[in-house]
Amino acid sequence: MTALLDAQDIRGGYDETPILNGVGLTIDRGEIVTIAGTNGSGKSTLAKALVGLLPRCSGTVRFDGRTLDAVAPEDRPALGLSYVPQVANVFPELTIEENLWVVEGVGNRRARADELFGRFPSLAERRRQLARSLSGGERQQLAIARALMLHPKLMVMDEPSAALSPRLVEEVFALIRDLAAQEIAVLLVEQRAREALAFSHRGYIMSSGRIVAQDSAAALLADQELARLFLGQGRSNAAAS
Amino acid sequence: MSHSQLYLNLAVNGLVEGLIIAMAALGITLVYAVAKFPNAATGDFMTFSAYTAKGASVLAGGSLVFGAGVAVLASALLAALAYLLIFRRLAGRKLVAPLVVSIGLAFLIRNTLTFFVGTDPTVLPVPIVRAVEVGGIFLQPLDLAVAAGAAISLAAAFIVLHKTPIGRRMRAVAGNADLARVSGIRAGRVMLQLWLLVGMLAAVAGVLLAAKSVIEPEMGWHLLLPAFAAAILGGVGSPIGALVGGVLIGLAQELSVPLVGSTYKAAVGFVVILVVLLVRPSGLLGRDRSVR
Amino acid sequence: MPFHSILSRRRFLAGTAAGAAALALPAGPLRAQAERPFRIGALNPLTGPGSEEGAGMLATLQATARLINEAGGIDGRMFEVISEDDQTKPEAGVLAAKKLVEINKVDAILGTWSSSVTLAVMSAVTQPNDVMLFTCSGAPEISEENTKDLVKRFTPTSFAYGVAYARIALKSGYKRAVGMHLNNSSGKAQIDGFVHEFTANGGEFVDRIAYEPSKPSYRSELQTALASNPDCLVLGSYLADTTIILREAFQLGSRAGVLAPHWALGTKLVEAIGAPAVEGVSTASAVLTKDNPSVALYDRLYREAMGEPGSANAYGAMCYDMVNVLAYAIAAAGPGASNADINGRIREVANSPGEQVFDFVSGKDKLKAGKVNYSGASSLVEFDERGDDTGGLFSWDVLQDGKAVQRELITL
Repeated sequence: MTALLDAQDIRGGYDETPILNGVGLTIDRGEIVTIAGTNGSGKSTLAKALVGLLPRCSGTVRFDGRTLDAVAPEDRPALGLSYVPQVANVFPELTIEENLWVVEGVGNRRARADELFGRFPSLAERRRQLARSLSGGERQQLAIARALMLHPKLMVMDEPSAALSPRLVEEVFALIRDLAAQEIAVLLVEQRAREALAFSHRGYIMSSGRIVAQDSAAALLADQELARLFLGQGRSNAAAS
Repeated sequence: MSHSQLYLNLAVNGLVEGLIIAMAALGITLVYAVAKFPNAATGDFMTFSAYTAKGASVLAGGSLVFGAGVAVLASALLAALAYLLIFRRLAGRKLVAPLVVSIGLAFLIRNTLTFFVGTDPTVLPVPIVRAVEVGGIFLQPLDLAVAAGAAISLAAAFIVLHKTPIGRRMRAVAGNADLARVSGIRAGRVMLQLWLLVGMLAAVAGVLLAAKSVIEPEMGWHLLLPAFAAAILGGVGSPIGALVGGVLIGLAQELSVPLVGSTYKAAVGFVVILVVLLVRPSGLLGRDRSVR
Repeated sequence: MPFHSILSRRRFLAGTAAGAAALALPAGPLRAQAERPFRIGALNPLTGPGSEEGAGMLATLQATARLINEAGGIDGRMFEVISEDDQTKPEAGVLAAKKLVEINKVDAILGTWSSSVTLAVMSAVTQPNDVMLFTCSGAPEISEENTKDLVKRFTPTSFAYGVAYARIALKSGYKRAVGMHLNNSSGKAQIDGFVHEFTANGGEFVDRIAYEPSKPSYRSELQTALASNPDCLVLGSYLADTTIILREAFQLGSRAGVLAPHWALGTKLVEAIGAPAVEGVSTASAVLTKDNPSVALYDRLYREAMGEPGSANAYGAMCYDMVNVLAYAIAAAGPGASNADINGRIREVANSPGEQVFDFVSGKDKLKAGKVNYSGASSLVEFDERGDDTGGLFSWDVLQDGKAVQRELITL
């Protein structure tokens, strides 16, 4: 079975300075893959490159059998590639329901939004409020809901747990596991690598714009040396798998 | 006329002047919010509309309504062409580039008009009617037209922005262009719709200004600075802010005439802005660079 | 005015200029020319607020020069006229004047109309380059800055106009006046003149408001002016602001009598706001001298060139006089004279005493007999030590049914 996403030799950055120096990865349908690495390793940049938002980028990305080189970022959601940025991931001056309705290319957008409101009841309660009035956790929910509008096959998520309290982090991670259960692949860029790997299938570790390790999540967690260098101290109570 | 009657009259004048400034500010604030640059050609779109209305109404035997209608269409077309041929190519460049280009476009429109119609002032075929006096306050029928025009422009902008998918997309692009892209929103289409809207708003402003005043090639250009000031004062990106900013500047200018004389009344408007921005840098109703 | 618009104007006028130069050269047989032509730079408001008068001014300069050339020039020396448009704006005027002086090498610039253009051209171009300037502008500063005596003014000053308005106001029985004027030297001087004469003769001057040009409305200024209940409103204005002010005065139902400059009260104003809005408005215009052969000759010239009576454009008469005075001065200075010599002869040929002469063609022989005294179509042309013409006459006109009707003549 061919991979859902197959990226090879991705290089580039925001200007002349290269941040990515030849990255390759694959993701299969329904997989959760975590990208870990220290700050500045290029994880977020890689995420941007995959969705087409990196100004200077070379390399090949194949998604669902199609080359994405000539596909503009606004055309990728329709193909099933969704993106949840780390910051600025909702439209603050639009209401919650407008945040969902504004997504282009949805068949019956109101019905789809209502479906998502079913899954995110706390958003449903406040659907007519402006998104900027949401708390951190609710904002993250809305960001994910927005990305779900178009029935994605792959969600690229950039540090969804950032700036969230431990309880909310667990909620978000539970949500992500749910997605995989529905056959939605998730590419997770995460600072809390141990916790993320705990429920991922596979992982990649990046340093200085390159992949320095890739393996099953369990194998990566078991490797003490790797874990010490790249995965941080970790938390004693990692999220349950 | 008693002292207080004079000031009440001046307040009425200021309100009407302010509404015209507000209409121009509305166009500026929308372009700034969505396309992220100050459009210095706003005034000249208004001038173009005024001349078009004049020409069309003359051809139609004096029908002002026909003239205004043609002006709205022509101005929308001009704005759309400005986007397609000029501003679209500058997408992604720093603010300085489209700003400077818009100044050049302003000169181009103004000089083309001057070349064809000359610099002599002319007027729209509006009948001259005496004002109605109510307790020492003079109200012109034209003032009511200006107020109505401003109200309609504002309402139209509001409805488009908040009640239509087109407006929703504009607000999304204004709020976060990258996020809009990954939501599948095509910037080009949104921009074209924006410029069409802005062209139509400029036409209404230009025709009302022409009706109240005289038509001459620099009429819109002269309004640019107060209109910019009003947009900034009200908080860039807020249509209500444009209205409030415009009215405040209009009132400050006209009410100051007996105090500082006509020469300095333009300065008064800017002093008001200075004070407000020192206290509230984002403008009266402003926030970050999005559209409400 | 941005540079590239001047260029487009130049392209547009290049044909006119070439045509004008061709017209100024004699059609008849050329005598052997000992001297190069005397170049006149015609710098007139062909566009802008002065354009109603500007076209006639240029036509008069060209026609008068041609007339003199066809009769043999000044002892064989011919006039050449090069035309430029000052757009009634100082920036454009200075650029055009520079071009006339530096590229066309003109010996004199004739026919500036707007005071701000004249002042700018004086300080930037003609005084630094020792070029003569004959003007129709009214601002008093022009005489004050005429330190090299290169400038001659063929019109009453704006201050003198203001005095004329005051005479009219007094004759009309007004007691309480307010003034509104454009914030420039001409507007200010008109009101100054008015105040000087009006208050010296018992009138009460209550308020003066200086306003900026190119504003969409002057209603606040007008209401402030009218708040003190004047019976008379004096304006020092141009066409655009007069249009707005008088329309607003009418809409407000103002009963104050209005005095406005004649250059703002043309057909364009009446077309724009209608005869009822200007009914009864008074003005003073510098008029042609009476029973003077110059007038008749100028009138014929103007009718041929413009199809209208010469009295329709007092500035045309001034331009007629400019060329004639210049011709007499060149003749008086003799062959091979420098421009400084010629400039020095102007008062000699224009001022009394002397035998009264009129147009150059018929009067040039009198120069050989003795001192002459040119009397022109626009005035008696008597220059004081500051270069101002003191021989002027005013007509008090009142607008009735959209047309100016003469009421009385006024001498200052």
